[in-house]
Amino acid sequence: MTTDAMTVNGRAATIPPGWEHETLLSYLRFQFGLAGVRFGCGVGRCGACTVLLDGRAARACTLPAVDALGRRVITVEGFAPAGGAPTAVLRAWEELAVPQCGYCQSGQMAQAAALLAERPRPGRDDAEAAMAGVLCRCGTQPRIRAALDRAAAILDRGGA
Amino acid sequence: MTIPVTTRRGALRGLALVALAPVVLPACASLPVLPARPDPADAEAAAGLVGLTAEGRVVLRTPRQDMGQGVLSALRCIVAAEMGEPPEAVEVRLPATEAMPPVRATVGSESLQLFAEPLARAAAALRVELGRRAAERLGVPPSQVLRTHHGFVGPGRDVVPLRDIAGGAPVVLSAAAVRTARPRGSPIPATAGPPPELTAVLRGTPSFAADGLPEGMLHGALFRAPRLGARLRRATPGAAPTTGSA
Repeated sequence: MTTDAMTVNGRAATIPPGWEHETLLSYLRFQFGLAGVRFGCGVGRCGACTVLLDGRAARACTLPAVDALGRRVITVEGFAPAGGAPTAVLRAWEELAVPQCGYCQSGQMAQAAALLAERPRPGRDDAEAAMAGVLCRCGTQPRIRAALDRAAAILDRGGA
Repeated sequence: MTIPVTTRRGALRGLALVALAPVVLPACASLPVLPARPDPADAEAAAGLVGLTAEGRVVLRTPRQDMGQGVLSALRCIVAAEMGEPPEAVEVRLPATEAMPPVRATVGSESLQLFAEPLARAAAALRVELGRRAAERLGVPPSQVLRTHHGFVGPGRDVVPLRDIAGGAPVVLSAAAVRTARPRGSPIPATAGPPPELTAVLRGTPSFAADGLPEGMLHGALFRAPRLGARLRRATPGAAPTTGSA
């Protein structure tokens, strides 16, 4: 991939003139129309804006869009690609009906996907540490933990 | 031994408090009292949360307004799980604001903390009551009817739909039924899956007010001050359409 482009959910993307100083969050939401990337605190503290950047969790609200050039960006929209099977994380989140209001859940899912990519069988402490930075005011943390375990089990059985 | 020393300032302060007390204390009585939190053990209140309409639809009367906190979805999932119905089969009725008693707040997490358990008991009571009525229609003991989609099935595989159980009259629960249906503190069963609105949220479908991007809406950006006390000297509104980002 060249350094003047990135991929967003598998699609090549460039930054048009006038967008060089925007955050990745603004770029994804307003240029790409990806509503699944949520604006929360705007200072990288709540985790609602978390996306996958080369497979690792990144806070899109503070990351300049230009910093994503040459890299792969995946948002929750990429967890259920058109014509493709939903990822293990999305399946687990749906099966266990994790969200209440749902505003933070795209960030939760991205953070979980990053964790599972790094540690396919995360221990309780690993999970707590990784997920602690994504806040949920509804109190769905127990269901998030259960969904994380379910996603790990799906991956263990060979799921995507 | 230390002898307390009263300063002139301290003495004046004390005198001022004594002088103000007859005015301030009665005025406190006129302050509105914060409404008490609902009692989860109140079976009477719980009984009013669910019922069956005259047409045979399970209805949930939400005790709180929903402004995007997900109260509606979460409570609906609880009723669905207890009743053995898909979430979308549960009809939700929001309360009219003027008909509601004053509440402290309509916060999502607090609403679930207060209402999840009593609602689960009420839904379990409704399931038992509907099963009893279905058994009566079939002429068998209640233990011989099983819940099936939109109704109950008897030993001879005869199905009694919820519509027939209602028989044109709504089913209203009694507090006594709620008290006996399900022990307090029993685990709430897991829902069979999320209602459609939550699936949409998880897949990134625009769902919140901030997700609305009407056709032709211009992009808005927040300009952060480069330093404390910075002031905007001038702006060039005509430059906006030339960025290509509208």
